[in-house]
Amino acid sequence: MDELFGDASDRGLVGGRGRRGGFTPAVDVFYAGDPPRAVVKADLAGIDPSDVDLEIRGRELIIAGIRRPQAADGRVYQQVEIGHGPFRRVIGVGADVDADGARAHYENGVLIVELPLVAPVAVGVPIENTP
Amino acid sequence: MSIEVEVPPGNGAQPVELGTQPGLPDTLPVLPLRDTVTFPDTLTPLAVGQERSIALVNEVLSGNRMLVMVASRDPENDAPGPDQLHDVGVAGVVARMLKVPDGTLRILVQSGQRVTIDGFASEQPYMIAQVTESPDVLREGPELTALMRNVQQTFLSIVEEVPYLPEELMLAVNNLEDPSALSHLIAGALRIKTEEKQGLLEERDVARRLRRLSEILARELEVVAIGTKIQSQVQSELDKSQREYVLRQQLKAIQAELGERDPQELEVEELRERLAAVGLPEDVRRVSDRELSRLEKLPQAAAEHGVIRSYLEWIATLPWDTESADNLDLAHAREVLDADHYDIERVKDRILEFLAVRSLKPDARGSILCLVGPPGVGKTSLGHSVARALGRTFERISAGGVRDEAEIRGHRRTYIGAMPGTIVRALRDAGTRNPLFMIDEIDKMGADYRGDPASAMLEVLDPEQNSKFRDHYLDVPFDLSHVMFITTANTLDTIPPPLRDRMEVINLAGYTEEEKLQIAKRYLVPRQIERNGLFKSRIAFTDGALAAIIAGYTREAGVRNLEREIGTACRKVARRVAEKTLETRKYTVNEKRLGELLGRRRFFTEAKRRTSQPGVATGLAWTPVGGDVLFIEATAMPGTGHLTITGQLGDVMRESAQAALSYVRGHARVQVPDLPENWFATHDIHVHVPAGAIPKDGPSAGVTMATALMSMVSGRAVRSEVAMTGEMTLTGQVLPIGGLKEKALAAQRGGLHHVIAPRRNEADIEDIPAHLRAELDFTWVEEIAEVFAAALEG
Repeated sequence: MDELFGDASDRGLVGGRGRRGGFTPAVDVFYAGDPPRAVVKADLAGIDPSDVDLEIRGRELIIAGIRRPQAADGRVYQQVEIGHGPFRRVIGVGADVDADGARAHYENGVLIVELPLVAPVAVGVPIENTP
Repeated sequence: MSIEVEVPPGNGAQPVELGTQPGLPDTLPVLPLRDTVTFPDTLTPLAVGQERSIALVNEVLSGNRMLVMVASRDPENDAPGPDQLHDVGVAGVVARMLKVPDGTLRILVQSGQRVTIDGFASEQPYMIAQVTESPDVLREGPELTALMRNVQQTFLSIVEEVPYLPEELMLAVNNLEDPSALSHLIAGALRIKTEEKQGLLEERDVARRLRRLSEILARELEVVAIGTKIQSQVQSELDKSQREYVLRQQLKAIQAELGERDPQELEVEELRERLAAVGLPEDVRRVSDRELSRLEKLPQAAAEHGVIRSYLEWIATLPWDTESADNLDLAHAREVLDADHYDIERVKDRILEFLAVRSLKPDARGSILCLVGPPGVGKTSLGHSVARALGRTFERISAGGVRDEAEIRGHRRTYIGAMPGTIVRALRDAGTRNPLFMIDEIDKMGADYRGDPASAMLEVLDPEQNSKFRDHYLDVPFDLSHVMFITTANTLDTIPPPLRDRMEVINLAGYTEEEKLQIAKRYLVPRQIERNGLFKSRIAFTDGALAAIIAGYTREAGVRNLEREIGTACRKVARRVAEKTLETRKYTVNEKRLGELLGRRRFFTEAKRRTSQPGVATGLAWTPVGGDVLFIEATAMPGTGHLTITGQLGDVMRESAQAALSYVRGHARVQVPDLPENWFATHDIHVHVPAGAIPKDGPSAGVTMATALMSMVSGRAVRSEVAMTGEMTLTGQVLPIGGLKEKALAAQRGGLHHVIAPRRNEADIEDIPAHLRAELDFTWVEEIAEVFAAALEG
């Protein structure tokens, strides 16, 4: 069982309410310079882009959607490993990002989201003398 | 292909529900569970084997992948129908599926919400039920929090003790904040009864579910605690024996360090050391090594253990290489022999010769002497003196009455109570391998069905064989060739010829009266005075008294009775000394006082009285206890010429009596011219030899019998001081005899001064001490007529 379902078990013996009946897509996150940005790649093969929602909340990127089952009759299954149903992942990013500058595109079934990093700005505060 | 995705602007305030659960359909296929219950929001691996369930899973995978799992009421039922299922189950999505080679399926179900089964839409090919969600009832409050914490804590304690719950569960339980999820997780992980699990599943109120779970957990914890206690008890039992073993090993190590050992090992070790200290011959060493290793392997309780042990002890105690140095100083030896024994020059000479040879050739074979003589002549004490002169240890072995060969050579080790023979035992007692063995009374060994000890003795006494003497018990050869053997016997006649042949015979004939007097003065009187607690200053024996004791109170070849009589006299005096009734300071035993001390005189010279009438002649005889005087009586009565011979005579003596009569009949008229011619035809003749109770045999009384008969026929008495000996032929020739010295001594004891002996024994006069020769008159004869001339009166 472990060998067979190890992947699934690792990712959550305990399902949260939000994960009910769905699956968890695999995600890569890396950072690149020029311009400084965070890149999130999510394995979302076989999913209609219109079924995917993206949202940025502060330093979190939320990817959610659904892989719709393809109803068909007369099939005899030998094995089933590709998760179906709804999914939802919340990916924390290690720096402040510019939500407005975010861009996303699909490439061979992989969703790539690029989040520009916001450079920290030092702001001087003048001290006033009270007479 | 690249697709631009519109990024929706986040508002940050309200969480946006994205990717939520697809709606619960009204009807779902039902997967019956046997003996298990799934809980919401868990991953459940399941094995699916029934045909209808396999079809169900396949069908589900083709669609929305959703099904509902419901526990069956009866776990024994293979194919439960709608009636046998519980009313509450869990909806789920098949996440993974694999068909295994035996045709069954393994599926992993991501379970979702709890559902109630309202009815069944169909039952073929699998059951399809109408379901409605049955959500939790959650009332937040401190009670719920408390229950949650309690359940968490109890469960964590259980996880720590129970091996079947994985450690990861602790982390998951700790991190869960949702009370409902917590209750489901724990309920799913526990190994409790299906009914209990179902009960937990059906409880919608989270707080009440947690309460029930808490009770179950408390119970489980107790069970686990008891299990742990039992486990630890078992463990401590094991630990105890383990501990004991370790301690014993340590004890051994400590003992070894201190030089203490366990008794058996110690015993074997001690034997090994003792054996190592003895210089065993190589073949014996091999045997002893083999037996030692056997002994080591045997438990102490085994019967064989004791047998092997005593065998090895015997081996260890024998003097394999211990030797005492011979004192080869001839002057010293002479001194010792003279100090202990008076006269017996021939014996002393022989022993000195032996010493001389030894000093010239140290590896000369041991010699075997046989001292033959009457009792009390000092054979045994001579052995002591020889040992003392040589500086060897002395061991006396009595062969008298031995009838069993095993006495000499021992019993084989296989017999119970087996032990070595008398030779090996004596060697052990001697402690050296070159002792002097005195084998006493070798002429009195018996023989019966158990074997012949004389034949065993042959091996012992043969210098050719005894270097490899093999005792049955030891079963290894022992070298007896260094042992000096002296045997004693009263007579040679009963010693088997092969045995006699191996020994050098030395005769000790007995002592003359003069010798006895000297022995009494030098040895017996001082010894008896000392033994009876007297001193030379208080008692003395006159020579006259001693001579009187010798003549009147004893009649023996040796001096044993003489010593006893002297002892009796000493004892009487000792009593008076103790009673203080002695008038004088010093008591002198003289002839007059003997009657008072020893009673009446016991022996008289009877030759004179006995031979006072015709028909009685005095003969001299040899016996194993020394020479003796015997009287032969002949009488005649009217009759028809019969001869009667009495007195327990052997065949040889009876024949010599008949020969004597025949000679006398033939020659009577020469001596007695006036004898009627038919005298013998008209008279019966009776010859008697007293004492009638003692058997007698031998030819040397022929002369005496002829003399007695002639005396009777002629009516001339035999001279009272005459004693005679000699064998007679039918023609009147006198043949030589043996034991002249003994016979001469007997004549002296009997108060007879004239001895008639065969001419051919004249050379034996050398054996007779000079003073005795002077005392006796010898007439050497060749013809019986000379005897008649010398012996008959008138």
